[in-house]
Amino acid sequence: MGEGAEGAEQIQAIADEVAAAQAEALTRVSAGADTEALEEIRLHYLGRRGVLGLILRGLGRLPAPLRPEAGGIANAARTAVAAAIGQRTEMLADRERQLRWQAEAIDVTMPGRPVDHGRRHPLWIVLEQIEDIFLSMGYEIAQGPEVEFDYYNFEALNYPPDHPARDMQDSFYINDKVLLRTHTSPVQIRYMQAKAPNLPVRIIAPGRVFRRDDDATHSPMFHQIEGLLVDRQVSLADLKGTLLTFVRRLFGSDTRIRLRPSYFPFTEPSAELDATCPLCHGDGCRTCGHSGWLELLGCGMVHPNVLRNGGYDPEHVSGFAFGMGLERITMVKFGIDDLRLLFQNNLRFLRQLD
Amino acid sequence: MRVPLSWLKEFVPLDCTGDELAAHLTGLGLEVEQVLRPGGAARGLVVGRVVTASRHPDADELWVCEVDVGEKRLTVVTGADNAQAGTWVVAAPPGSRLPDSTELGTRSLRGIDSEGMLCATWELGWPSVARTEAERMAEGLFLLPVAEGLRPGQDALPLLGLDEEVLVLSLTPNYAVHCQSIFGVAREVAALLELSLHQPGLDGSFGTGAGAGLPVAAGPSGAVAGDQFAVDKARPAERWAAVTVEAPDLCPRYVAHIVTGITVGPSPLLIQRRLQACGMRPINNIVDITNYVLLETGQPLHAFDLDNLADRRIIVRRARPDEKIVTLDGVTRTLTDTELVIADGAAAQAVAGVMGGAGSEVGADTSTILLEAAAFDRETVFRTSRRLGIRTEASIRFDKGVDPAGVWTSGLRAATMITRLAGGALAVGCLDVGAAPEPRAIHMRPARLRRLLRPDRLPRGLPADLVGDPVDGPPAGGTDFDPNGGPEPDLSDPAILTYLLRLGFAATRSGAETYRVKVPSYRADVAGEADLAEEVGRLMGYDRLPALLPVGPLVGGARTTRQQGLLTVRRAMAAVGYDEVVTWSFAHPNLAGRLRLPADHDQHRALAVANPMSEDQARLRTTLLGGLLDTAAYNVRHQNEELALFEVGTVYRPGVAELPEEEPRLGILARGRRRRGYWQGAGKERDFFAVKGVLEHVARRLSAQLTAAPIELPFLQPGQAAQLVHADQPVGWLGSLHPDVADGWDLPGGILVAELSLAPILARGQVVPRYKPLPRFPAVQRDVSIIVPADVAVAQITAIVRATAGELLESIALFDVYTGDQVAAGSRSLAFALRYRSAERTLTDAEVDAVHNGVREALARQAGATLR
Repeated sequence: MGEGAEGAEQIQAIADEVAAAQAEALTRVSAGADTEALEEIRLHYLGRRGVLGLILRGLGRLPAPLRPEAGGIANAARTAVAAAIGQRTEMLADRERQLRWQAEAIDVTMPGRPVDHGRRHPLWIVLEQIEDIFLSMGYEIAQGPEVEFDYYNFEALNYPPDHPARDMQDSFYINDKVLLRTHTSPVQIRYMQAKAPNLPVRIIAPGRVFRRDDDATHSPMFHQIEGLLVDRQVSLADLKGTLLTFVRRLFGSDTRIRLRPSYFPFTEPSAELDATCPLCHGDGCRTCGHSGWLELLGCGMVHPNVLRNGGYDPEHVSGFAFGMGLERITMVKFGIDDLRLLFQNNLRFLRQLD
Repeated sequence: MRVPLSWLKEFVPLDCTGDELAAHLTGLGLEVEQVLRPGGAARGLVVGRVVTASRHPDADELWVCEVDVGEKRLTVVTGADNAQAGTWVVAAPPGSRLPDSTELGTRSLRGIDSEGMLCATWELGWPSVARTEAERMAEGLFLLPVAEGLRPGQDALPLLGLDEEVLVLSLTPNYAVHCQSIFGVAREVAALLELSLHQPGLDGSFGTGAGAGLPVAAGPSGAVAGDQFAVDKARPAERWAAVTVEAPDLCPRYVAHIVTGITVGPSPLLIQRRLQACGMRPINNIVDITNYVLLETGQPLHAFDLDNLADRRIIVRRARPDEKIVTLDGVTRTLTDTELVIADGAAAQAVAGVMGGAGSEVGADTSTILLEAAAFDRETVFRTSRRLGIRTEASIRFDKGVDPAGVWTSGLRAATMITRLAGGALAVGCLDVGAAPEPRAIHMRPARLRRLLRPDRLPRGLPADLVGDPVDGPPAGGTDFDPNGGPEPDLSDPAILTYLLRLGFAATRSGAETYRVKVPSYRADVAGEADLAEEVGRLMGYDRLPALLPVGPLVGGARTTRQQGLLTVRRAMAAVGYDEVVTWSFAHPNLAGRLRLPADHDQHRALAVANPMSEDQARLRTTLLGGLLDTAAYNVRHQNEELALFEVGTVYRPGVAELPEEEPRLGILARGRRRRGYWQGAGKERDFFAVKGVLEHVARRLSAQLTAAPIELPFLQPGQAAQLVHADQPVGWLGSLHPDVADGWDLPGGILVAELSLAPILARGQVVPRYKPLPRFPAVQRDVSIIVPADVAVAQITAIVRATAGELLESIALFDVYTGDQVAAGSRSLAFALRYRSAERTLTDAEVDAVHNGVREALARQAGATLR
């Protein structure tokens, strides 16, 4: 039994040694100031040459029957110390991250980095909207030359020669036969001549036009959008519905319209279309001259002579046409009160609107 | 045109205000610009009689007048020379107010207290006919014609028509013939409101309608005009004078009345104030009456002093080449042989339809007049009046055409008015050459009118849910339009005939469903069924038509390749940070010079506008550069100094055809930094390569590829200029703006400009990219760093590399450029990253080394490169 007693003593001695080392280790762990210090502690106690490691390795000198028990004691201590280090490390790492994040905190109210984004010109923004409305109604976009023959600009559009109707549009001439087109209406003739006798003709023709006019509300160069529909059975009532649809898409579904008789040599009957002012919804404001109504565009049924000049027989087909000023609609749309702004290209102005 | 309401009421029994009438007329197509109230704020103006007038003791230019204003006498100081004793004036005593709101008080003028003032014409709020201050001063005080019933202290406002409303009409040319007169407007109003219509009296009566209410019958020297007009039966017109029309094609009708024994003097107040309300200046009773009847009926008239007509003859003929005439405005005019004159036995006495001549003008001692009423060729008057730069109340009516049936009646009306107001007698008969043409007739099918206005195919209007934007909810109905409601207008045959009848058209049935419609003589604008449809529509009111949508095959609308391409360019440019601008198509003639454009540049032969409004607009642009520089300069002046601008616009290239070639181009101008002033630091300064990158990007958006080659252009800084090439064709240029050009626009340095012809690039359209399998084997990267002479272009080096490396080279990228201490002057160091890859296998180092060493040797041999 002497052997047994000696064994118990030896175990006790190891247990004491282990307990002392564990206690010392745990004390140091709980005082460990940062993850670095804890790593040092880990190496000191748990490393290959660490305190507990040496104890474990020393167990080899014990008699074999004692080794399992002594090993159990030492391993339990090892596990306890490792767990304490782990816990402490995690806690410290967490704290260190908090500190780092605190240092990395930003002022979220500071301005974001401006994105490189250019602005479309307000005229083209609105033109695209208008084009899209008519494209969705099955219209094509047609174009014609800006430097045009007098024939297409006036004669083919039923302007009598030497008639005051020509004064409605004072022209810039290049020579006797050629001028800067005063409206987009010549595209009507050019398109019909190319298309006749096929039906339907359904186009809008946006473009640049020129008139000898320069004041607060007129520019010698501006833009129009022409519309033309020719088919077997087209009436003024169809024109009215088409324009109502257009105006409501552009300015909102509460917009109302009215047609007033007017005169254009190339349409008969002719009318002006007024729409309720989208800025004041008809209550009256500066833009609409306190009338609640805005004069928006000219329109009418295509004159029989114009149909004939386009290659169609007015006995069998009829059509409507309309023409609007892009500048005017753009000004209404954005509430711009000075036409000149549209051609000055002041970047401060352009950047407000897109 | 101006329409005094009281005058209108002489012909039609109206019972409405000016604003109400304006709404009616606008609905008929006669747009009313505004309703004037010439009286404005006027209050307390009274009739006064000048009792004494004496020179101001201390001021030669002033008069001191004692003025009888009824219950008392006022002492008034005035500068006008016509305030003589015995004259009747309009006095504004202290406490009264002028039309322009000026309150009168008593104030001292050179030591004499003036109690209020005496009024000049323009101060009475009539539309002034005096154009200059001098003309205003010369007019002096407004003198009331002496008339029965005029008494000092009488309220002057009704007397002066200052309680009047005057409508200002803006007439479209088609309505000019029948509406450019008071009576014409009355005829329209009567048709719309279904009121009776009174014709202007052929007995010379006037001012009898409702609202006249003031002494009108004041003849010269206070004589009251006769109730009847006087006729000289002893000597008929043809014994006084003769009329020959040698150019009947230009003068289809000429009627002359002769009035003898007249006395020229001021015309009655009513006539004076109506002329003034219409913007005309009273002159004397004869001229005023011709103008009065002109305004009333739309028929221009002219009075000649018969004693000043050589041989007492009127010859209507073409002018002789370079024939001279001094017109009423005192200017000598030279005429051409396509123009029409009214001549006497010796010389031209009037430019027909445009202006009378000074030689036969009615003057103070005129006693016999020949009164002309004629129809002249519309186009001839149009051309002559524009060539001479004369627009008169007569010419603006003749150049639109007058009512041929109104020639004789208007002449007779003026002649009888003259005998009433200027004394004398009308020689019996008249000299009448030519005839009114037969009225036009239109073959009308009511069914066709209906088809133009509103087809029968749908019973009701457009369904509400088709009209509104479904996102925004259903459309709001309104009194002006209700898609589903409201009574359908009656467009039956009888309804159509009734509308036409109200407007003076007479219809007779000519077939089962056709009518023959006789057009009134004053409606030259109505020529066909479409015109009749408009007449019906406007009288009915377009607002009564339903709103339908056209019926037809469904067709998808889409932009063409080119239209879509232009839109892609605009969107791509905006997406990379460039602002879109819109500049003028016009250019100044010196633009080519300012831009230092090369001699073969289109701008040197740019299309010239024959009648520009300013030199700035005398040419059409052949480059977008001028407009971009103007825009840049404007913005720099307005403290916008960081610029990234583009324009997609048309240039006009003169060619052999009659019309120029209109070509779409992309113009770019850039300078400065992105995000200047941003707290994290601004972006890099924009330079040549920034703009080149943008151009390459835009080209890629259009599935095109641009290359750049060095070029010299006089407007670009030498050494920083490139020609842009697409499919082996030059399509534009890019570079740093030449400093001398920048100076010309007061622009700072560092400006990049570019211009690209879009047509060749858009031609292909956007190509849909094709998928290629992703690489299955790894790439091997090798860098090569060389020193080469500075004149060896990177493009040359990449070409050598590609040619040598062959198909194993996947890509080559320049990643570093260095010049400086480490590199000899005249050389630069370049570093490229080369990626090698095979589609079939993983490349071995040995394989890559072999190719890469070949590249290195080739660079040394072919580019003179020193390898590092």
